[in-house]
Amino acid sequence: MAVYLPIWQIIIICFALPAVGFFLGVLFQSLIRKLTARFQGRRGPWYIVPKSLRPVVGSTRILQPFWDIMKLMYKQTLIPSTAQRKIFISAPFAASTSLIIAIWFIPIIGISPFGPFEFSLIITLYLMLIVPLTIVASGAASSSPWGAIGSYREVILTLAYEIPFILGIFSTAMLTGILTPVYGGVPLIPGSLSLTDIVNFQASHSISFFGFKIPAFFILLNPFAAAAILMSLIGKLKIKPMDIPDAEVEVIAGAYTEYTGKLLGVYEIAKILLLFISLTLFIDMYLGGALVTVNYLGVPSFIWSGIVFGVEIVILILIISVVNAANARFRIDQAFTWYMKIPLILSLIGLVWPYIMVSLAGAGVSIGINIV
Amino acid sequence: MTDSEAATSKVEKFSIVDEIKLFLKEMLKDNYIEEKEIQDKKYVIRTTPEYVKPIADYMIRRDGRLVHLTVSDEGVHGFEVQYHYGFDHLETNTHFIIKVRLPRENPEVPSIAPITWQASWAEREMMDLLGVTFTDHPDPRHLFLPYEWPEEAESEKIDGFSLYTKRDKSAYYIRKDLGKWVPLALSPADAKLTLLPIGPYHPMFIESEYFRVRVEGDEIVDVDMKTGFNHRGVMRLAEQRHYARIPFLVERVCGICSTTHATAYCNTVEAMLDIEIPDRAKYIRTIILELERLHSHLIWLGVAGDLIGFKTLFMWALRDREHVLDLFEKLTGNRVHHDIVYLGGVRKDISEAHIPEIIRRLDFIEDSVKKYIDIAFDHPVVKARTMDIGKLTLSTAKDAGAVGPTARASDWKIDVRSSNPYAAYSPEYTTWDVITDSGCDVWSRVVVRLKEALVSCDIIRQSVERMKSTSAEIRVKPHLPEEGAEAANKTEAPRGELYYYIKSNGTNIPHTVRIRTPSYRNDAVLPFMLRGQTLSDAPIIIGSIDPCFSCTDRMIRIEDVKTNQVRLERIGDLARKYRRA
Repeated sequence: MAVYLPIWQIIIICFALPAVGFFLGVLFQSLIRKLTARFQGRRGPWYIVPKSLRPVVGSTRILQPFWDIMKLMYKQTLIPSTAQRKIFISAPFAASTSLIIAIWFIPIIGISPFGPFEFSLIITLYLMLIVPLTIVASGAASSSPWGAIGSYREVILTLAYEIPFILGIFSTAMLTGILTPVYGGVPLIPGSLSLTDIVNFQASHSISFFGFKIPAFFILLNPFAAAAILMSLIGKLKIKPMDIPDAEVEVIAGAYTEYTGKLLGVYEIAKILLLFISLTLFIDMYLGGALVTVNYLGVPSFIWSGIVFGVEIVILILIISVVNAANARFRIDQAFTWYMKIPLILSLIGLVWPYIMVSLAGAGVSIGINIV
Repeated sequence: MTDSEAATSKVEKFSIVDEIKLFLKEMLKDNYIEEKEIQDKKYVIRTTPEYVKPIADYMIRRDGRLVHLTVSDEGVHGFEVQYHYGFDHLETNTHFIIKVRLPRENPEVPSIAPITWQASWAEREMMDLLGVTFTDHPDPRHLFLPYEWPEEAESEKIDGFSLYTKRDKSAYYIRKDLGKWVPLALSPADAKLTLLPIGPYHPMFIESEYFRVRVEGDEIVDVDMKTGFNHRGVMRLAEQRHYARIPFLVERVCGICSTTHATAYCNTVEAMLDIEIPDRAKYIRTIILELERLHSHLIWLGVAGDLIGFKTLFMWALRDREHVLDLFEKLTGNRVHHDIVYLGGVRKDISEAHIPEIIRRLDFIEDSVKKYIDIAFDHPVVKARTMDIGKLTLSTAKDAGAVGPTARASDWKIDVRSSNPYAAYSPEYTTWDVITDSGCDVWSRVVVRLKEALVSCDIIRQSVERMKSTSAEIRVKPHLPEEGAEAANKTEAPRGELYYYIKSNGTNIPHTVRIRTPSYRNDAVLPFMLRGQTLSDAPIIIGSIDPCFSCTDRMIRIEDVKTNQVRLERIGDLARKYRRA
């Protein structure tokens, strides 16, 4: 079933996509920083960048996260003599590499070299799970007590957010298979685990939502799972109530305590890529993958897709920034309890929600949603 | 008959002062050497060293507080050990200063630390600074000096340093009896225990302080604290300066509560000279002191917010604090060290033109503080992080000697402004209430400080209003104190009770200046709050007392709750043991 691009295009995209993803991740990161600063009422230094520096830092400083990483690349890398050297050095590279590979499987405005692969969703989830594993390994390998505490917190937090995350993702993937025949649509694939199929399903179907004809966004068809995934992403991205593993005043930098210079820079790259992948995955799963297939107003459809992608990203980042600014940090036991209380229950509701919709439609009860 | 009637009526009118004096006379008999009243209800009683323990035992049982313990160097007359007992929380202004003389050779006095925890730090401090030995002290380690400070040239030397000094040998033997204490969970016996260093440089602290926290899993088993990284010897410096120059020196003890230091000093000297300052100066002092409390509580709220990860609260609180700093700049000319309080009054007047701006900015600050109170009451994460954390019960607070908002959050109504009125705090000048809370946890300390900020706004408004009807005089001329004049006075700093003791020798420089800062007391209370809590809560618990290590610069022995044993370990030993070959 899977439709792949020609091999030369795949190779080009394989190299270009991680670079694009990193660049966009830097933009997202600076947007989060700017919005958080506004919410916190920070004024910041008011000065004009000198002309000679503009080619380097730019006049708007939106590339500041990038230059933060570049600075680390110029710095000396120190490795503790008591550290487990091999694990300590390889962990940041394993995290970055797994995320670069994950980008190949995630469609960005429908473009993906390996997206049509049948199990690209599962592969993406596993590759994203490697990041917390490397953080745990590097904290334990650094032989610092703060690293050990950071690892221990990372393990608990990962356990807490990963369960609602996986449940939410799979309950959404079921939608492609279950809903279409019942609501009169043409069944594309019975319950596809391919991200491209999920994106194409949302782009090719539309729903009438209380009389309004809108694209078949899964966030409307399964809002419970979408909410659970968004809450899990807050833990995955270490947004404020959940930034427990690297809480500065409590554990210095957690697992990153002993990391310096280039190795820390590679970890920072992984963080930026993770931000990009998480947001793109959410858009792919719940917001139609920002894919527009019609050339409205004579403008090519990929430009429309880009605009939609930008708008959706800004909304998501706005939510993340508000959550980040409006919260204090949970303690690890409180975070675990919270994840077991709200997101887990939401994702369980999300898991049975498709069946409820099907049985309601089978019984002839209108819930105001129809797939066309 | 008439005599006995008079005697019975006298007995009925017995105040605490009379009761204590009578008891001491009965107990000491011939050793009741000298008694004098230095100020209103403040008494100096001289006795002999063998009676310090029974006196301490009686004073503590009589609900007294050991406000401070200090030693004064009297030259050829030897050392003078002073025990400052405060009863002002029971009866206004009441203080007893018990003095004993020690010979210059082999100065030894029994330690009263086994009787009250409040003496522990003060005795260690005096062993460091003046070399007086307090025998049978349970924890005779250095407080300000480094543990490996070379004291005796002849003692055991390792790598050129005499590691075991006379005093520290006892600590060494205690440790040796208990066997090897392994810091990083290496021995099977201690495998469950981990030692974590917090400080001297750690993101938790603004200033340098060294905590050693032993954790079992995530639970803190015990805490040790080393101070002395900021010691600047302000008390010694003050003993070398003219009276007129000291207010500006003592303001430099702390960058946040500077005026309260100058006020405490000026109050003490004014009490020695027995001069009354003009009403207008009292109101101006009150305005600056209360603005300083606002400033301190706002900056503390910000830091506390940061310690529980609430960066937004930190930014907002520091933004609002700017208004106070702007007011300081307008009123005193300086933003941090105000230098406005001076002997006999104040140096600058607050004119009518300043009053509208004071009121305008106060309105803004009051609105913000009300917003923060709403956050403290409503925000789920803030409540989850602060409630039932760092419990300090009323009895522990009293035993260990907590002061200020820390004590008031444990429902202890203790406030120098009401118990020992100075400036314009007495009821004839301003009316206000002491804020207390019965929660005994970190959340209560947040709420007490925020409500106190509102009270401060109220006091400033009243002072500004009533200042208009005072005469323009803002200062009276001071003169030099007589020989032997001495005075003790205190103020309520934003962190609690700040105690000053000054003694004159008739020249233009004071003979003795002693400062007891509020954090000195509250830091000593920290282990009681930290034990049994999780490591994640350590920052906010330490932060909840508003520690000012710069003020204090002074913590503690390790006490194992599981086995009830005291273990002592020295940094030098660890460094030597784990130094790489």
